[in-house]
Order: sequence, then structure tokens, then C-alpha cells
Amino acid sequence: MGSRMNKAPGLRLSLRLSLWLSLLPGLALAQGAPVAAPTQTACTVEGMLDEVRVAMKTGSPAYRKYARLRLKEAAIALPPEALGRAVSQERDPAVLEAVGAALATKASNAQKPELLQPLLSRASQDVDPGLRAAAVRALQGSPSVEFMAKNGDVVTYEQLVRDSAPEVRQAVVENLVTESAGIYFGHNPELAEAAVKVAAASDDPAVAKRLLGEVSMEAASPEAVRKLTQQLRSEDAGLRAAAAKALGGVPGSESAGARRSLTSLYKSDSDLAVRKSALEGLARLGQSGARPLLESLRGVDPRLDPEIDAWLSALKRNLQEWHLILREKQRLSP
Amino acid sequence: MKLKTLLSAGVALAAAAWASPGTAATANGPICDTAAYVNSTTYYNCTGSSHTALDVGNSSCGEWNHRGMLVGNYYYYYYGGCAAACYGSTCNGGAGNYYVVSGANGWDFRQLHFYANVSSGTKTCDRCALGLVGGTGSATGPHSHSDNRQYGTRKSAWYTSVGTTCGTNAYCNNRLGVPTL
Repeated sequence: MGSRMNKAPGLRLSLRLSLWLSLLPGLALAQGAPVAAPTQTACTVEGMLDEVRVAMKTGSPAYRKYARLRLKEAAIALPPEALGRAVSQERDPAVLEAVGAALATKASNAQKPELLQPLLSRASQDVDPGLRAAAVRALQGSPSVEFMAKNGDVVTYEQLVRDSAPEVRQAVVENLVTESAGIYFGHNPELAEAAVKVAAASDDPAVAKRLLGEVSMEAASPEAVRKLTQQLRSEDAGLRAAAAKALGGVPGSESAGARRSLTSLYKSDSDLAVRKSALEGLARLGQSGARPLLESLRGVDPRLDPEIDAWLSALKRNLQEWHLILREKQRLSP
Repeated sequence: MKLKTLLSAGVALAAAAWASPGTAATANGPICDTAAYVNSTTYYNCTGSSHTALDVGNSSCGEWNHRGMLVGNYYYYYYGGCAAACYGSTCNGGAGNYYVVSGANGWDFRQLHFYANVSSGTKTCDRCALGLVGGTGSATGPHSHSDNRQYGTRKSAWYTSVGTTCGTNAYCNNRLGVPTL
């Protein structure tokens, strides 16, 4: 009896709530709207592409993601010829990106970089910039720099970054940044070299800045460090600042030269942001050992003496990892 | 003054513990055979001495591909030089022929005891063949050993967190763990 009495107010509340919700026009429409139900698809490239096409046109973001991932995972067992044909013929950018990513997975799993040729052709030769960008985006998360080299460097990121379409250039940057961090965790010399070369080849300072700022230089070769150092003479102050920060992350064997270049930059550059980046590069190169050098730079630009003080305080803590030092410095002087 | 130093050290330690950025990867079984099972986890054979890694076997040697376990593309660095063996050898400090995927901040993921073949070598790939299931190095029988370490210390959370234990089927489409890299 007591139980029935306790349930009654809850029941009344839920009835009232249902009534109010049914009066809301948006929800009433949503209840009656036709929903694209997933249909059974044949386990072939064509059948799965039909599913991806429907998902891209009418599916929710989650369903679109699911359809793309399903195709990518299935690609390991799908015939590469059919995937290659689909990549060559597809006209919808979203579907091209999905089937291109599937082909890249197949190429990586089977260790056959030559399978990527249809995708590389679309990336470099398609007349539609949207399709070129989709083909480049399809390479994201794959070892694309290595695979391009194994395909004879017929298509390279240095070429693609000169594309007239900004979305293609943007896709190049995203790929390199993702590949450096996600596949190699910053430990790959080829990626560092590719980033420096692509930054140098780009006419777009924003692209170059992002590449130098986000692709790790910890395994950069002497040649890559030399090219990076040349960027300190760029006319674009933002690019000089990005190069200065990137020089702070070069390997120990290159640190002496990088230290000289950054010290000289700090003394000669008139831009405040560039000088600030030079200090960061010097702090990163030497960590706690950089303190005497930073002390010696006091007075060169009095506006930045508080910045030097913040670095000295952060370095005094003897923290052992760069991201901890950087966080401590940002806490002291954002 | 002492209190201030102590507080500073505490803050630094807390920051170090909190700031250990790593990426969660997914590791599937290393052998595309439904007869592959996990037979050692935190302890050898689940009740023996400390192990803190996964051993997977399918009772074969020099026959089945031993695949990269990580889902997605990763850079597998190969340490080879061990002659073919199914029941152990003294090579590479007990690891036999093996691969290391080096992540950030001292994290790595290793696969050990490969029986080398044409697929063996440093490469970047997504679940590709890296060699054959074998028993090179410190092994009493052919199996795949995988571990997830930070600065050389083996961790167990990567497989315990997803419920992998002795007897779990280790077919290559089954998720065995979520290692940090």
C-alpha cells in the first residue's frame, strides 16, 4: 500500500512531462521525422561505399564516424585493386577521404606503399581543389612521408604545400603535425626534415609557422637544423619566432650552433616576440645549464629583463622535463 | 624557509605526477589464429613469479605471423640478430628478436621473442607482419611477449583495465589492452 502511494506522484509527474514535451513543436517534428535506418550492405568495396555515401549524406556525426572506421578496418581484408579503383573514380570529397584512408590502411598493413599511387595522383592532379584536399586528408595518420619516398618522391609535401587551394595546404600541415606526434612521437629525423623543407617551400607564413612550431625537431639532422637556422633571417617576424622556438628542440649534437644562432638573434632582432622566442629556445637548449647565458643577456632589452627573471626562476627548480619547465615559467610569467 | 622548500618540492612532485602526458593506444592480439590464448599476465602462468606483461601462444613455432599489436600506424624499431629458436636462446639479453615502439616521456611498447623472417626489420605500419611466432631469447616455448613500460618499469594497467587475463582469446581482432605511449 505504502509503495503504491509513493509511486503515484512520480507517475503524475511523468504524465505531465510527457504532455508538455509533446506540445513542443521541435520535438513533435523530430518524433515524426523519417529516420534513415542503416541497411544491410554487401561486404565488398562497392557495398561498403554505398553505406559510407548514405552515412555522409544523412547520418549523424557518430554514424559518419562509424561508417568511415568500419570501411577502414574492413580494408585490411578487402582487395586492394577494388579500393584503388574506387579512389580513382570517386567524385564526392567526403567519400574520397574515407576510401582513401581505407586504401592507406591497406597499404600500411600489407607493407605495399605502391598501393597509394591512385591516392597520390588525386592529391596532386585532380582539377577540383576539394577533391585534392580530401585526397591529402586521407593520408592523415599514415606514414605518408615514408610512403611518398618509397613511391619515388613523384608526389611530395613540398609540391602539395604550393597548391593554390588553402584547404590543400592546410591538409598538408595537419598531416605532418599528426604524423610527427601520433606515429613517431617526435623521434623521427625524416619527419623533422620534411617539416623544415615544406616550411621553406611554402609561400604561406602561417603554414610555415605552424609546421616549425608543432613538428618536433628532437631528431632533426644537421642539414635540417641548417635550414631551420636560415629561417631566423625570414622577413616574417612570426616565422622567425617559430624558428627560434623550434631551434630550442634540436638534438644535443646540434645545440652549440643553435645556441650561438639564438644568442645572436636575441641581440640583433628588434622584434619583441622574436626575442622572447629566442629566450625560450635558449632555455630549452640548456635547461638549468642555460642560466649563466640568460643572466648575461640581461640589459640587452630592458623590456625583457622580467622575462629573463621568470626563466631563471623556472630553471632554478631543476625540473627534469621540458614541459614541466615550460609550465612553471608560464605560471610565473604567462 | 624549510617549509617553503618542502612546499615547492611538493608542488613540483605533484606537477610531475600529473604532467605525464601519454597517448592511449589500442593493442589487439598478435596472432590471427583463434587458437591463440593469453597464458601469462602479471604472474608467469598466472600463479608463478612476477611477469607484468602478456604472453600469448597458439602452440606453433616458425609458422604463424607475429603481427604488430597496436591499432593504427606506429614505428616499430627492430632489434634482431638472433638465430631461429623455439625453446629459448641466449640473445639480446633474453628478449630475443624484438621490436620497440617508443612513445613520449619514457613510455614504450615492446613485442619479444620473434622468429625472424623476411618481414622482420624496422618499419612503420598498422598491424603488419613483423616476423613469426617463436621462442628466441629467454623462452621456455614459442610465444609472443608484450609489455608496456615507462622509463623501463613494466606496467600492468594497460591489460588489467580491459579485463585481459589468463585464458583470454588473443585472436588478432580481439582487444587485449590499451597501452600508454
